[in-house]
Amino acid sequence: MGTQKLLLPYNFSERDRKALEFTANTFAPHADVEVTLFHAYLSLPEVEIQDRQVTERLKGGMSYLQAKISELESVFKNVRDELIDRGFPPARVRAVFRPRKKEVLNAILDLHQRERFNVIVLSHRPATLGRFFAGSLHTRLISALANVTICVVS
Amino acid sequence: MGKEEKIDIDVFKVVTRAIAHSDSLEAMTAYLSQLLVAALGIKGCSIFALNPETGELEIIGTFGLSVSFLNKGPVLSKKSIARTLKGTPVIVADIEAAKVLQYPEQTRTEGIRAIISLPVILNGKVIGALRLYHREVWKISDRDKDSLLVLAEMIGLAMSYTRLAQAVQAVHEAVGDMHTVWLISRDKG
Repeated sequence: MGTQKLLLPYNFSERDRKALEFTANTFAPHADVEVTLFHAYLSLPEVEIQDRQVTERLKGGMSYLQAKISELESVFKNVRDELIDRGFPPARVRAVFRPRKKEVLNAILDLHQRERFNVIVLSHRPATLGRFFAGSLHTRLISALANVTICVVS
Repeated sequence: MGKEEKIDIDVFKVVTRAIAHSDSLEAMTAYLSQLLVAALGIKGCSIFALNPETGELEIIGTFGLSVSFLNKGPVLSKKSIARTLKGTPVIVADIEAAKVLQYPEQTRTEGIRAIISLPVILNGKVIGALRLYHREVWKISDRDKDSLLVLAEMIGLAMSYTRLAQAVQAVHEAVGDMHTVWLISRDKG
C-alpha cells in the first residue's frame, strides 16, 4: 500500500487540539501516513489599503496586522513541531499556512483538488451560533467530497 | 490616549466598504476587526454573537488577541461587562479600576489595559457585542463612540442578512438533493 495522505485543518481552538491528539495517537505509529497540517487565514483586505483615501495612520496599522499574522504563523509552526514530538517523523509532517479570500471550505477543497488526500480529520464544532451562521463544515465537506475518509473528532 | 478623535470619514469609508464587499459573515467580521485594529491603533477587536439559550457570547470574528486568551473559557453575558447586553455601551477606560471583567487576570496577562464594549442591536434586541481592546488607558471621544455604535448596528444587519442567505442556501441544497423519481410521482399524482 502506498503513502496515505492525511489532511488536518487547524484553527487553534480547543476542539482542534482534540483532533490533533486523535491524529497523533491514531496515525503516528503508522509509517505510511503523511500529515498536512493546514491553516488558511483570511487575507488582509488588500483592495482597501490601496485606496488613495486611506489615511497614513491606517497604512501604519496594516503593518501591525501583518506582524500579528507572523505571530500566528510561529504558533502554527509550534503545532507542527508538536506532531513531530508525538511520533511523526519530520519528513512526514508538512505545515501549510496561507491566506485565503473565500470560506475555509473552499480553501480545503482547493488543497484537496491538488493533493488528493486519503483522510481528512476535522474537529466537531458544537451547535454554536458560528455554525448557525456559516453551516457545519464537516457536513458541507462530506457533501462536496467523494472517495475520502473523513474523521470527525468530537 | 486622550479624547482625540480616531475615526474620520476616510476610516469610516474603508471600514463600511469592507462590510459591504464581504461575501460571508466570517469575512465581514474578520475584515472589520482587522481594519478597526489598524485604524484605531489598538491591540485587538472581537465581534460576538449572543447565544440566547446559553447566555454565552460566541466569537464570530476577531483579530489581534492571542490564541491562549481566545481559548480562556466561555464568555458569559451576565459576568462579562454585562451592561452591554442591556443595550448600553460600556467603556472600561482602565481595567485596573474596573470590577466588571469575567477574566481579569487573563486580561492583564494579555496586555490589555482598556476595553470598549458596544451592543450589536437588531430590531431593538441585543444580539451580540463589538469589543475593542487597547494596550493603554483609553478615553474614547463621544464622536468615536457614536461612529462605533453605527458600525455595530451595521453588524447586526449583516448578521440578519447572512442568516437569511444561509436559509436560502439550505433550501437550495435540499431541493438539489431531491430525487427526480419523487418529482415524477408527485406530477402523476
